Amino acid sequence: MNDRTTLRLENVTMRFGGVVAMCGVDLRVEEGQIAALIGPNGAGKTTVFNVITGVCRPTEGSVYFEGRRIDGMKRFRIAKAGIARTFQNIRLFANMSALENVMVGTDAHHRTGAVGAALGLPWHRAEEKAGRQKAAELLEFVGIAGKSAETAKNLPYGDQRRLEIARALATEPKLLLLDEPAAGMNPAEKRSLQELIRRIRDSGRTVLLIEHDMGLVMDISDRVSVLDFGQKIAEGPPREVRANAKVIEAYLGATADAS
Amino acid sequence: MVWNDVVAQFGPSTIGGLAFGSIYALIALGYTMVYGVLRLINFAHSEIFMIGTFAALFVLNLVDLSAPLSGLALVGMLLLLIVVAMAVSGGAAVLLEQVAYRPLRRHGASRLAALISAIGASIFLQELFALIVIPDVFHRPQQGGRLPVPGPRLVNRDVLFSIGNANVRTDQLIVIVAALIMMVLLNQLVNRSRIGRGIRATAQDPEAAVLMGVSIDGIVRLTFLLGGAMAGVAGVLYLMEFEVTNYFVGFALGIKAFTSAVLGGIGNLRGALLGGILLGLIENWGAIFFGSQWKDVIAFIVLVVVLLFRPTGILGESLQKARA
Repeated sequence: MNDRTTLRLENVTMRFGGVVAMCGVDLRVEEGQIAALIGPNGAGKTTVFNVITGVCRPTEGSVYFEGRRIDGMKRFRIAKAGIARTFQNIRLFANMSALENVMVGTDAHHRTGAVGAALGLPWHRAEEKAGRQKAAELLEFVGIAGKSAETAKNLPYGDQRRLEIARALATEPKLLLLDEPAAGMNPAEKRSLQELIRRIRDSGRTVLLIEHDMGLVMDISDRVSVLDFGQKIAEGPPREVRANAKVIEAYLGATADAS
Repeated sequence: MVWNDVVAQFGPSTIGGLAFGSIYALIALGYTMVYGVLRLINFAHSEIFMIGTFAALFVLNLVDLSAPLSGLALVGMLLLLIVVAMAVSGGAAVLLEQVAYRPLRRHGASRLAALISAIGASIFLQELFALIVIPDVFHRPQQGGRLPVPGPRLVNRDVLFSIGNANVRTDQLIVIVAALIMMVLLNQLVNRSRIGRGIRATAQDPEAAVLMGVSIDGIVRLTFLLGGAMAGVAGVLYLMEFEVTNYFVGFALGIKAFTSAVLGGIGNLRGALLGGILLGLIENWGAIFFGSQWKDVIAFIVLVVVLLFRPTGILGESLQKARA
């Protein structure tokens, strides 16, 4: 298989009781790209993220990350293998400071045990210092350097979204999944988010995002996949997808009968 | 009741209350930490404390003290007892989690099922000590191992210094100082380390924590280890102070410690500390007026009154708020 492929879903079906959330979905995300997953509400986009991150185990099919099969792996192991995500409805550690939120992510690669930490032994201190520094850098990277001491729940909405991205980046993911990162943002915020996503890609990470804002998706994506009722109906560069008749139909609902 | 008596007893009662309260607080930490992470009341935690008293007693029997210790020998002995009791109680807590709670969690059992499992584990551990450990290891088979098991005098009850009319004895000072040190260390761990962040992250949003690479099983194990270790220290201090233990010693102490955790706001470490100290003080102050046989009644009346006005405890945030 192509070793430039970061993520590959093969024929993944996900059923919840009688509901089919994903039906035989194939998906491929190439290394260093910004890929987008779009589709009407309820099309199964978030389910795709849940399957990738191990929250749901696919009913059928398999998921490969850098050539290694990851469906069925423990969730924290998938995270440590290099997949991080943000959530559609922001899920920060509300009562921790912004810096601490990010440090939970940097901790994924640290080792010190309880004794070293309680007694403040040198290696623990070195590790804490490194973690704090890296977390501060990430806050700067996403553009909220000045807010590191603030409690997460007190941050404005846009900053919470950025903080979530910083926290996800702290685990040093090779693949970053963004679930509707632009939701609720104003045009100016969207522009700077767009720029941030590009910088994340340019720093060598692969990005897969779910987004409803078509302008943003068409602007930054290298490749767009379209889901409708759990099935992939189109895939390709933004220009092609935009012109695809099936996609237009799914979005405009011209003949689709949802009931 | 003469006012002068109240004044005369106030100082000593305060010192005694602080010492008692420190022990409550150390045990309360275990309840509150486990609750924070799993939303489970670990009713067998009182037996983890009981095991700590016996671990300390076992070491003391081995050493076979001929006279109370002082100076460096005392400090060294206390350190040894604390290390052993922390290891034994912490280990027992981890084992308890593995056997009594983890399988239930894995199969998605309800919290009520886990609660029943906790009560079962509590009874099992008590009976294990009464029927096997106390008769066989401590050689006291009388009445099915249900008699109190005395320990040696570890430290003399010398008056070290006085604050006003309150005499502070060596043993009381040791209890208060040792408890304080343990709490500072734990606070350090929880607020300034990877492990602590993992514990807090898991308490606030387990799903998100997992996706940040936090192993929930690992964090739960650590939480039981830390809580158990604190109960072990409490066991050493209790044995030193009262020089006796029994298979049932955790029951009353456990309920008081649990009360402390609720009083301070369960799930909150500082709340456990505050609740423990307050409960110890209130009990002892109340005893001045009503007599010490009313201690428990006073403690629980205070609990009920506090919860009427602050249902989440003194430092507790409502869960909805904390999770918003």
